Amino acid sequence: MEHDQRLAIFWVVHLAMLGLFGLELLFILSVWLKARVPGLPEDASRWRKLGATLRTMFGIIFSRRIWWLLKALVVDGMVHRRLYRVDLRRWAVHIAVFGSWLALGILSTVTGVVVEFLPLLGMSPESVAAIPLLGQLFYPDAWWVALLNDLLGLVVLAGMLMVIYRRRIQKDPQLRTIPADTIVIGLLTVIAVSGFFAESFRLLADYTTAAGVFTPAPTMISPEKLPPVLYGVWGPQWGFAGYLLAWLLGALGLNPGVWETIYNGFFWLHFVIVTALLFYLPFSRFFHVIMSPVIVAYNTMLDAPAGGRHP
Amino acid sequence: MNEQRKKLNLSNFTLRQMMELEACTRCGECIEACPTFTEAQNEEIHPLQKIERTKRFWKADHLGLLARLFGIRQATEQDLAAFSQGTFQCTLCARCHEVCPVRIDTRHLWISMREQLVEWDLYPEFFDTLRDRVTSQHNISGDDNANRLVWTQNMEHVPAGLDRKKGAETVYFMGCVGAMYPRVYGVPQSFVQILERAGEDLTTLGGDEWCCGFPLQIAGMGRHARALARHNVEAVRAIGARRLVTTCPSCYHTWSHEYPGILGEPLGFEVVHATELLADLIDEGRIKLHDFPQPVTYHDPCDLGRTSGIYEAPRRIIEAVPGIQFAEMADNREMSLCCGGGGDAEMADPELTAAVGKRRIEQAQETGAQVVISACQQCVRTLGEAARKNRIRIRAMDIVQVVWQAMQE
Repeated sequence: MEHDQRLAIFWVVHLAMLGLFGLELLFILSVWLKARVPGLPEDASRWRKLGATLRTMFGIIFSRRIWWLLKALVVDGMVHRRLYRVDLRRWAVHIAVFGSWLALGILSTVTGVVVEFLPLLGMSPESVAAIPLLGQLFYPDAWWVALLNDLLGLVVLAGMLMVIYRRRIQKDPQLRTIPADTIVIGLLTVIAVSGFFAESFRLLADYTTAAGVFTPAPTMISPEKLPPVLYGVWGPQWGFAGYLLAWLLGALGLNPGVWETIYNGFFWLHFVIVTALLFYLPFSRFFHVIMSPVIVAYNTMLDAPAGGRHP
Repeated sequence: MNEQRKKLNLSNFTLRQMMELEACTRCGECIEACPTFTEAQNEEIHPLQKIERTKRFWKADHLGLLARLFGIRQATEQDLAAFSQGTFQCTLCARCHEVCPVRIDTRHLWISMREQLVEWDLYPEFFDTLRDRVTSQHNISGDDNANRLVWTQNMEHVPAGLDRKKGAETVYFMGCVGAMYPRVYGVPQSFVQILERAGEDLTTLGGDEWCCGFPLQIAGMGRHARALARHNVEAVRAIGARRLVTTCPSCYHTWSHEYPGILGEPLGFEVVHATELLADLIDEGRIKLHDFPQPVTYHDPCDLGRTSGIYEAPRRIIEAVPGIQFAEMADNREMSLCCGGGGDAEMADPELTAAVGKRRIEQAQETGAQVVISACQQCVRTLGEAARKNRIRIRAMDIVQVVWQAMQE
């Protein structure tokens, strides 16, 4: 499949899934609004409850309590201070998974903007790539982009293996594993592993000669994909894990067309699993990645002196 | 779904609680912190299971086809029975909230679950008796509520103006246990004498004092508590007092934290716990304390400490007593172990709550204390019972009684 065709399908499906994800959240919110909202009668309409909730939200945003909320969001929602105080090892595992996914998500989003949206604004690949630092995201083989992606991916993988170890081998007495946990852990692990394979198959597709030899060089990539302005930062070997895997698989001596086909397969496999997770997220136990930062920030703010939980 | 069972009624929960259910990370910190699970090792009791079950119930009942798509099945009779058992065996001690990395307001969540179970008629039978007593007799004992001051009858000296004195500065809300259960008459008796000697202008609501509604609220029958709240607040307003004081932490919590929400307006007078008032009176030099040369420890009542945030006032009092040797228990303040007497759990499973009490009295014993002090009649009763049953030589006393004893020459 052509690169452009693949990307077009990718974006159409991706945006559709994001829309569906948004609809799922709205649906869940509409059900939640059957619950009580303090200060309103139980039989108040959902619109009234939504209005009261939004008023509370804006009341916090435009008050001094916003600082407590933001502080709690970062310290307790992102850095997980409480878990750190309780158990350094468990904190490290959680941060490895949560922090690295978050960082990878941010990196992917910024990359998507640089690669897909800036050219839509009429910028040439060369001029996008020439933007200081940000432009280097135009191709994943800029040395620091490759290094960051691999490092974060490995940290995620290590975190996932620790999660599996705690639940399946160590059988930590404070954990209870139910099928919902297993499904999410399985999906996340497959995403992390398939990401490395997808990267190595891309390297093989890009840098294998017609004779089937894996010999990476920047000139092997078309200037539309890798503008010459990025040659100075080109360094796929910095993505050490994917590169090593590509080097090992390269010994099979397959031609670049075969690697391209395999890469396409893995790209879509990776994408389908990510999409499935996104679709499943609001109904899964993984929903806590969205709800727990919100709740810990809100509840910590209420406990704070400025929060005034109690009249 | 069982044809007879109504859907889970989401209005038993708040919007925030719906979000809290989904915010649970299933980290399991709460499992180790749960005192009843520690004793019973029953998987239905711990917070993780209660949250998981409630999530499944609401999703199965309200997500329609999507629930089926994601394999969420309708609750069976066995699921519901197990959920009820686990939810009513909880002492509502809120220790799980202290260890929760997400700060889920677990105690209120468990109460909302109980409200749902009451709506489903899945609750311990005795709760019907409790509700009938409180709504008809206005106290938990079922005695004639006109006898609220019966504890004054065997006092050598009864302070003047105890029965509904108009214009008194402070109203003492005795609470059902203090007023109606002879074993703890010493608490109100000591308290009114302390305040008289300190020169406080004190009265009570006498027969106009109705149960604060706490036992119904935590039973999941909070709807019946609203009339009690309105009556009590009006009664205090009629006296014209500027302050209400309680010796019972559950009454204190209900007055200070729940009543303004139930009424939808400020009470118009201050609510304090006896320990706060006594600590201030000691600081002001209005209470003179003499030697109490005994090794003691202090048990934080859940409703005074974790749910109301009062940890220091009782310690200030104890440390002000000359000659007292005070040692903290291994678990104290926010992480204090429950005595087993809370959450109406004793009505659901007395053996289990006795085991919780045993663990706590053993912790008290480990400090070398001869007296375990608390600031709650219920805790004193439960700990005293645990000491007696387990032949542990330690006395349980309410802090008010300790102060009164230390005031004697």
